[in-house]
Amino acid sequence: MTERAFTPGVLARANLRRRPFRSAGLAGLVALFTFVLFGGTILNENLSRGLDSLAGRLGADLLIVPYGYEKETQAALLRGEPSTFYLKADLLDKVRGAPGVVQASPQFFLASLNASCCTAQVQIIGYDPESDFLIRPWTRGNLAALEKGQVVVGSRIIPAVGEELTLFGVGFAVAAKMEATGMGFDTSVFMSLDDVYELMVKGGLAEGDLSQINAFISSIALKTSPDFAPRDVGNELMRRHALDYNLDLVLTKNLLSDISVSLKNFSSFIWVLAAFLWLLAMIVMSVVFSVALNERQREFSLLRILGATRGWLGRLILHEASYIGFGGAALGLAGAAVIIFPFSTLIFQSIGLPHLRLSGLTVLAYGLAAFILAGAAGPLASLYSVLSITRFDIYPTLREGE
Amino acid sequence: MNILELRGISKIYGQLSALSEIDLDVAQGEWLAIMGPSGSGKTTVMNIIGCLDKPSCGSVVLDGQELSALSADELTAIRRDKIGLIFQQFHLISYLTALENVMVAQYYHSLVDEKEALAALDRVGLADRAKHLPRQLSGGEQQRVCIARALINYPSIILADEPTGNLDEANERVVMDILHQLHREGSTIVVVTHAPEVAAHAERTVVLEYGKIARIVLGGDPSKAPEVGEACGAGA
Ligand SMILES: Nc1ncnc2c1ncn2[C@@H]1O[C@H](COP(=O)(O)OP(=O)(O)OP(=O)(O)O)[C@@H](O)[C@H]1O
Ligand SMILES: [Mg+2]
Repeated sequence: MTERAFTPGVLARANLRRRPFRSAGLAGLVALFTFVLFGGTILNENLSRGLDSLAGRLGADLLIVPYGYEKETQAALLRGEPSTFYLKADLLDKVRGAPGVVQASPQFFLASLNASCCTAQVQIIGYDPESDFLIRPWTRGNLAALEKGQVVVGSRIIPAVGEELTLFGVGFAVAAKMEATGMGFDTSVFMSLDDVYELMVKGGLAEGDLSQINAFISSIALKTSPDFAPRDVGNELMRRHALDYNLDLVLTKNLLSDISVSLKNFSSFIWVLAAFLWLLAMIVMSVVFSVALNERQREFSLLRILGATRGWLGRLILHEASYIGFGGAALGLAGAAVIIFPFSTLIFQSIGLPHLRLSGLTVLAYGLAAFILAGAAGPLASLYSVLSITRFDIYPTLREGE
Repeated sequence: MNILELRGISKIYGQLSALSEIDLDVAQGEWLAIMGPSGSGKTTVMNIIGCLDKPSCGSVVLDGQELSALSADELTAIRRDKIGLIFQQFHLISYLTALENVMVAQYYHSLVDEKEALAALDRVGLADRAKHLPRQLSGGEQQRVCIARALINYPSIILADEPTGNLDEANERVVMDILHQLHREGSTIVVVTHAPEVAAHAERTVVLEYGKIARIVLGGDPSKAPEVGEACGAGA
């Protein structure tokens, strides 16, 4: 190793190399903090973006479902857990005329068994392409008419547009594929209500004939007038029809509130953990730096004798601390990138929340913020050492070494 | 012309007066030895001359410059530019090679010049050890690196505190030869030593006792040479 210039940076690096375990240990601590902070905020941001987009694009303000099926609806919509439930279809017309209701569109939820397309069960959702406002916002291009025998599939259903999909032994043509929604829609297959009813008869899924089956739907999605509060519209509907139809209401906002709560818990957990780790890193580094300061008095005296000013020694310590801080921060970011990004979809699936990718710029901004916050812990922790080195005298310390 | 003038230098540690009222002039190009029993203040006086320490009172004029008014950073600059220090302990930076230890001194002084640093090591017979770390060098070799480092910036004055205290005879001879060489080239040399055979190389010897100059003798051996002065007021 022959260095041309002995700047504080060069000497700092030489010194860090001399104590590889100490350096790596401290950098590792900073890396852990960075990992938690960056990984946590990215996950957190991902979640809340997912929620916002969900709330924004879910189109419906209210969902009418059979009494007691609120949870199932939520599971089916958000996580794609297949389920089947019924509501009498003639409710639709009554709802359409109700005050404050702008749009109303019916759905029929049918849980498939293992379909040939997919390893998991898929949720089959029958809908009315004409009045629909739930599915359309997610379909690319225009899907004006969904013809008989055609289906729209979620983004994670394998067959591509133009290919065929077999459900309960009946073949369907894939007419369109939805954009990724991050929710249950991604693993759902959409077809017209008539096709669902027919499928149920053909597949032997229901007793009775078509005319009996098509008297049922599973839910009605409602869009309310801006002049009305969705809750008031819902209450009025409940007052009129709850007894006859045994129904329940889901406010889309409430649908998401469970997630909101877990999201809040998650983010406060992340913040507390990050704050704890930051403090821990600061304390450990401060202690290690001041211990090192004592054991290096001779080295520092010598550098002073050779002509280093106190300020120069201060810079040397700052450099060492910065290398540890920012090196550790970079390590933590790299770790987060390697662990969190490839597995993010998996992570989100396992916690059962919608997942939408963040833009590169956002990730970059969060990364930069975490990098600065974590990296700065190094120099901050060394401040005491820097201040005391700019105060100490050469002669007595050199003497102690004799 | 005097390169160094000490006037009324005292150093007091609490109740202890390590140096009291020292007056001493050192001429340009002179080789001076400082002797005296342990605790007599030899290192203290060297550290004051070397700008490592400040006297409690008195004035030091080095190369025409009064030191007592200078700040710590200004003293650092003087030390860097005018003084070559050699210690009894071989103070090398443990994680830098011999060559780098010499180059560090260049760096603080002005510019790093690897060729010149190598030449300095060559001069003390260590060109082939340039890439060795201090712990890979013998005591004598380490001391020679210190000397190479002390002379790298062409100091006006070389201060050596027991430069051969930890060396065997062969190494002592090598070190003294180098000092002779430097002296011939015009360097001013101040050597603190216990050993009469080391002091014998000097042109003049100052003997300290209890923080005072007991006597000054011409030539190296204070026991043989005639006394030329008494404590305080002596000097030239
Ligand atoms: N920092 C200090 N605090 C208190 N006393 C000190 C300090 N430095 C030196 N002394 C005292 O000053 C006196 C002179 O010390 P100095 O180191 O100059 O002696 P010396 O002549 O170099 O001795 P030696 O030959 O043993 O190296 C000693 O009595 C020593 O104990
Ligand atoms: Mg001494």
